[in-house]
Amino acid sequence: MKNPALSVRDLSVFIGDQAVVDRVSFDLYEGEVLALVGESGCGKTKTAEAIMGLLARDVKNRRTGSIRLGEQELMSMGEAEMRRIRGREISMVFQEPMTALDPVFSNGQQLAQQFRRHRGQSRSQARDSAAEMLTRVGIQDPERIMRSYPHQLSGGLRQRLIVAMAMACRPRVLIADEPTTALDVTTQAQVLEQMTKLGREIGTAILLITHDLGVVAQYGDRALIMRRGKLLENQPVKDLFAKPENPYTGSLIAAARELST
Amino acid sequence: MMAMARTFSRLRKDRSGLAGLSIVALFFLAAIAVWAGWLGQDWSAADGARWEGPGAAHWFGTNVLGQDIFERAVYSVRTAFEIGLVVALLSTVLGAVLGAVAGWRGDTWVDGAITWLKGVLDAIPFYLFVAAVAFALRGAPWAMHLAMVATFWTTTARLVRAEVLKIRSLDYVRSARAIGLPGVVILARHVLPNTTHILLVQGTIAFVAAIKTEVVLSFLGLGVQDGVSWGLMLAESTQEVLAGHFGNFIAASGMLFLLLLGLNLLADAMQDALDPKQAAL
Amino acid sequence: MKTQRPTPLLNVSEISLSYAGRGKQPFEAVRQVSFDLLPGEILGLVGESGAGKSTVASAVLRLQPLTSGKISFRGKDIANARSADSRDLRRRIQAVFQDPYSALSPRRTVRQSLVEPLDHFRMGDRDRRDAMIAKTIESVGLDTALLERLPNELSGGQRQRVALARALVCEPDLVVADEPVSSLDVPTQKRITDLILELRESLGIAFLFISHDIGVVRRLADSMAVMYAGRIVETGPTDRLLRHPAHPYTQALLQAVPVADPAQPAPRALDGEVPAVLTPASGCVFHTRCSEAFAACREREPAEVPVTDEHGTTSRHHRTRCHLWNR
Repeated sequence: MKNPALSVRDLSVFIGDQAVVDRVSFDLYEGEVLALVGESGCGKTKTAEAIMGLLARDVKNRRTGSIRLGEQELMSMGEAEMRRIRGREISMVFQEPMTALDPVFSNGQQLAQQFRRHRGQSRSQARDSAAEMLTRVGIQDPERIMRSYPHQLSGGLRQRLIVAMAMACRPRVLIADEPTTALDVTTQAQVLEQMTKLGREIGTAILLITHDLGVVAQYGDRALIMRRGKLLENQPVKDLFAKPENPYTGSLIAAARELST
Repeated sequence: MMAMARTFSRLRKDRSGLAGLSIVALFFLAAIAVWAGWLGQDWSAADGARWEGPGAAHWFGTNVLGQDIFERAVYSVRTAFEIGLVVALLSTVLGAVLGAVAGWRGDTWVDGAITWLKGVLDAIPFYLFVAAVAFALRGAPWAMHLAMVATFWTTTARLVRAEVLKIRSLDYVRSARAIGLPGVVILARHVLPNTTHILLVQGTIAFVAAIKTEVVLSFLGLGVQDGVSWGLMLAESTQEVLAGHFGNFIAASGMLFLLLLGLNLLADAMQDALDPKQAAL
Repeated sequence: MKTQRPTPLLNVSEISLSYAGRGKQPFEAVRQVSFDLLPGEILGLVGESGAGKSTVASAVLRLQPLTSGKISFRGKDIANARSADSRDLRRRIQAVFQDPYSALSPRRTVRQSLVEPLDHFRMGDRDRRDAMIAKTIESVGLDTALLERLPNELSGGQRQRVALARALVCEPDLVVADEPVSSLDVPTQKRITDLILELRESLGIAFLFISHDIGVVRRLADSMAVMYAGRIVETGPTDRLLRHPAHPYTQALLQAVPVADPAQPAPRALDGEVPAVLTPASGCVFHTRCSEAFAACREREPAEVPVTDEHGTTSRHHRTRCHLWNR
């Protein structure tokens, strides 16, 4: 078994005295899609924030445990070091794309910026890389998209742009927190297909956070089920759906099947 | 009603707000006392010597005419509240109505007209404009009040208009329109009540601005004509200070400072307490 | 077997709605949309963002004027309703919208929100109104104790039920529900859709149910209409339409939904984007993304035709706007 790209051990996040994430442990391997599932409030977003060192800087927030990215221990890193890691070795994609895009710069400028900053490319190299990356996320007219601005794009295009920006630096890990929840179903299919394909090509390990079991079944290789801060299951997707270990998982699957076509 | 109760309970927890509220309440009681005839009635009696220092008979001393400074300062509280309340109420109401109409009819000529008017009024240097109106209407008893209301309404209107534009697209307004409620009813029943947080704070700010403006106008001789105010006292005091008599100046500016401090603390606390974003669910 | 459909409650006939574009061409949000709704029927209007579903809802609620076409309710044109008729119409057609957190006026109690339509339509005296409110609030599964509460004391699901009660309290014939459960979590969605079915059974109210979620519509709707870029591309009885989707867009929509079973085929993504300018140069609005487009698709907009199923029977009730079915 290869070494995991990301290794989390006994991660706990406390708000005051309450553990909103309670001793969660898992490994994330290169090129794999690990789905982190649970209902709202189960702690999945807090887990992602803890990994990225993005917990709100509040006296009440505390995290304990170990987060190893390859050889580096993230838990003990200061903000300056974490800033180097974020965006280069670990990237994140959120539900709402507009918060990550600057309305003042064109899409091409923002994407090219990623190549210049993280891959040290020149202006013209970066522009070519940007166009190529847009094609790789399935955008058919990259030149036009590069000239436009974020507010001119539809939700799906914006999200694909964000994925392009996140993957530009060939990160080891991509954390996607409900990336398609706000999108239409056909757009969701486009974005998830492109994102997971790109992940496999580049070798990025993807942590896909979602509440949608259909997404888990169709795009995940392995799945983690969380409830009230605790990790209940950690299984390959095929096994999870065939033989859930935990009755809670069973009830989630049953509910999802009822409301599907 | 429950919303008000909640607001008060939040206010109670804010110490500086409480301090502000106490100060304002004290001054308000003084104003009522003057209105009722219990205090400050001898403000015009020239029964002392010229420029007496503070003493038993005259707590703050006397001015150039031998009038008791303390009496005059206390009477001025009533003047201040009169101006403050009248201007605050009228300008807030006017601003609320015009702002609501502009916001409700956003992107039509009505909105355009009101916004244009706001822009024109705001472009004129404030004190110049108020002074000009007061001058033009001088002699008329409400000249000063009118001048202030005519300029103060614009800020309230701007804030209310922005809020109404937001509220207009909310579902509960859409539902009201869908059942056919007339626009006026929707504005009065569903929209304006949800702007009270803005109105209360703006009202308090207008109160403060009115008092400060009166000081300037009185300085220019365009303010209070019959009666006394801190502005008039300050105007008097310019000559006196040069002659080394500070009684008028200290009394007027001291009381003015205290009341304005109290009002500002109150306004800040109210803004925090009424902020819908901080409303507990 | 041809079944004669009785007189529809709502007849929407070839309606189009255009918005003034920003200085440029008018933007056609809805184009030649037609459908019927029988008394007590639930019609699911499905489609993705920008398809025009909410615009159709606004048109039926007369919140927006039609550019062309006609909408009739109980046989009469609603556009020209005069004041007494107009008021009656407003009572008989009610609305529920998507966001439970802005559905209710924040400073009005639940009771006040429910009294408002009764008061506006001058229904009943004080006692009768109290009775109607109590009955309605219970019929949506809420306790009368909630009547004195303010909206911010209620959960999202509860608020949406109050919104539904407000729509029902004046005894309408038709409720237009625009994404009423989309903001709610899955168990609450289920409860509210069950509630709607019960209300239809007991009160015979018709629903125009708009949603982007086919799973929800499948549980509720007797018939479905699928919208794309302002047009209805397919319409028919729910079961039939889902079992034999005729239009390539309907098929794509169904195939894009990820199923909670890894053994089932993976979702197929649909290439391309919804056309930016919603008045395409020519042809079928979907042809740029359609895997089965051929010459006619680029030249002429298809007419609505009945769909023939695998047994060769044509149902007048299952129709689609597609040249594939018109050869």
